Amino acid sequence: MSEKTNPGGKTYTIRVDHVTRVEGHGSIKVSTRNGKVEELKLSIVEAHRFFESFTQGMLPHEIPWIVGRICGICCVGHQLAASKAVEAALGLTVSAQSRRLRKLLNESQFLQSHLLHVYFLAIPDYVGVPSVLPLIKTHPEVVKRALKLKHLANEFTTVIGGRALHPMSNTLRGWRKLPDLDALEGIRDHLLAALPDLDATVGIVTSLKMPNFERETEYVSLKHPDEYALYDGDVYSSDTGMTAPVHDYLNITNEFTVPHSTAKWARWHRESYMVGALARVNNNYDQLHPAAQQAADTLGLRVPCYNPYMNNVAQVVEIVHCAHNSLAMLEQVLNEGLVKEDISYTPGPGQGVGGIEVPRGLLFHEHRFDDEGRCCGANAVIPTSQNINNIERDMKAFAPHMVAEMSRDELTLHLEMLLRAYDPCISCSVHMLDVEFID
Amino acid sequence: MSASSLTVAGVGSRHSTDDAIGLWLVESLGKLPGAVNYVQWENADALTLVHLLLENAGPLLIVDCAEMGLPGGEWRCFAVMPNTDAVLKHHSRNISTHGLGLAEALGIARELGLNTPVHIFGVQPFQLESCLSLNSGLSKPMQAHLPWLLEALQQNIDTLRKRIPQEV
Repeated sequence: MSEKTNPGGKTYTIRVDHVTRVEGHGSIKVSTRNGKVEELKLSIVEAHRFFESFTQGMLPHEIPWIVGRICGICCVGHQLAASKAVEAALGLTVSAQSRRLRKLLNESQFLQSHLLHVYFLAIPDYVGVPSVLPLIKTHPEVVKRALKLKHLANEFTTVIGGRALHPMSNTLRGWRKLPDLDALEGIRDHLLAALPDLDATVGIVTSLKMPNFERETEYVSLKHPDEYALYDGDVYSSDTGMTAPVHDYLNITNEFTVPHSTAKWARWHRESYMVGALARVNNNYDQLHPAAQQAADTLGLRVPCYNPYMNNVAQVVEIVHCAHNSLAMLEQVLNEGLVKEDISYTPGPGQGVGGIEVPRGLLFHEHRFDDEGRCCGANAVIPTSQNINNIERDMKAFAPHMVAEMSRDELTLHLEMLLRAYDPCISCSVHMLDVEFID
Repeated sequence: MSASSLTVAGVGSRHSTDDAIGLWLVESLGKLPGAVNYVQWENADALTLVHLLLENAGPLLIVDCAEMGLPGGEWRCFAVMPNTDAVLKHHSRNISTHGLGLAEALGIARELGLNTPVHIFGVQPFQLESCLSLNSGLSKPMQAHLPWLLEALQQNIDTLRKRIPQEV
């Protein structure tokens, strides 16, 4: 993309500062001189949270529950990634029944998270309103549908995991308290009844115009031979067409630091890579449920897609996939029933890595235990820190092209929209940003 | 329960001591026989509350911990006014789902068509301390106030049940 000079000679700085929410702090700074972008930085200034430190000394079964607190939206993902890591460390096996319940739990969280992001955080940008609140007056039925679907997803998580936020039923090797079959039947019926609402969701998002911007990058996700990989698989790169085992995550993420970010950045086969819904759909399109493939077609999402704004659309595709895939899994559970399983284990030494797809992308956990079975080392690499490098590079490609064509307000909005399209953990906070121009 | 039956909803979280007072009170009253529909909206975020408010067909009394600047254990029972524009205007430009609470949930629900009477029985907390435990329990002074609060809540429910047929 060539850099354009604005004939009018725009000289200004866009600073989008201080995101002061629990997800962390982020800011965007763009300096332009005579219509050219001189500097662009996406700064993440989150304070360290020390989860890797305060898991030290904990027993193996305590780890998944405590690390779930890393995120209120991806709590299931952290819990499951940690469960897998601890089980790998101790050589514990998980039954087909528990694996299916975990997949259901994970997909219920995908529904929760994607619905929240698409309806409440992303859509307002594309209909020209600052938040979801104006839509309450102009599109009350859309907001009611969003609330209904979100509530259904919360209930889904509650039935499988015991509660909607930080569920406690899953533990090492399986389920402490099995879901009630009648409640599962109820969720299946409600999911079935909600399918027209999902069609309507596809319809709404189809009507939204995504900015026309493309930048090809490396797309990284799990890949599994038998299924659309959300819970299990190896790590696949679109650059090489090859996979690497999850336990190789340090050689995949290659974390490094930059002065303007307290979060580490990541790169694999090139300068940056993307994880998340678009990466997954690009890499595993053929394994999407046929209804999700149909939705992708309706939404105009053709793979490979290089437009990062289309991550919003890919999330809608995954909403459809998770609903249909969950219905199939629920049917299996209801047909086969659930049996109480032995989940006993003996703490001991070991080291293990767990990888899982969460709504925002690939999540890795590593945990180590000493001879007494106490945690003596931990590491977590979250999707947003893997994406930050790629987001900034998208902005650096986007802004020079647009600075001549867009007003400051438009450019600011489009950069925020680009950041939000990735659905980073700071996404909610980005809606709270104050914009300061310095001429 | 008919649409005109009173629903009494406990709101709060058991992770933060006295924030659970609404849940405790409604749980206790729910064990008694009567023509009142008792429900627990535990750990419900604002968006969930909006959905639950819209799903509730009849008059509603919300029982919740409330910071009112009163001595700990004091209670107030008041009606939620139909016009809640002010709450939403406060958020017209800036919104994060993390910044929404019961007031905003009521405002959004009103905008989306909630037109049944809503009252709040608010109890001033003694202590609000988060903890990792699943159930931190009420503070000791709040526990001592429970009999008095239960009696007050029951009286307000009885009063509302007499008044509500005229309000619906």
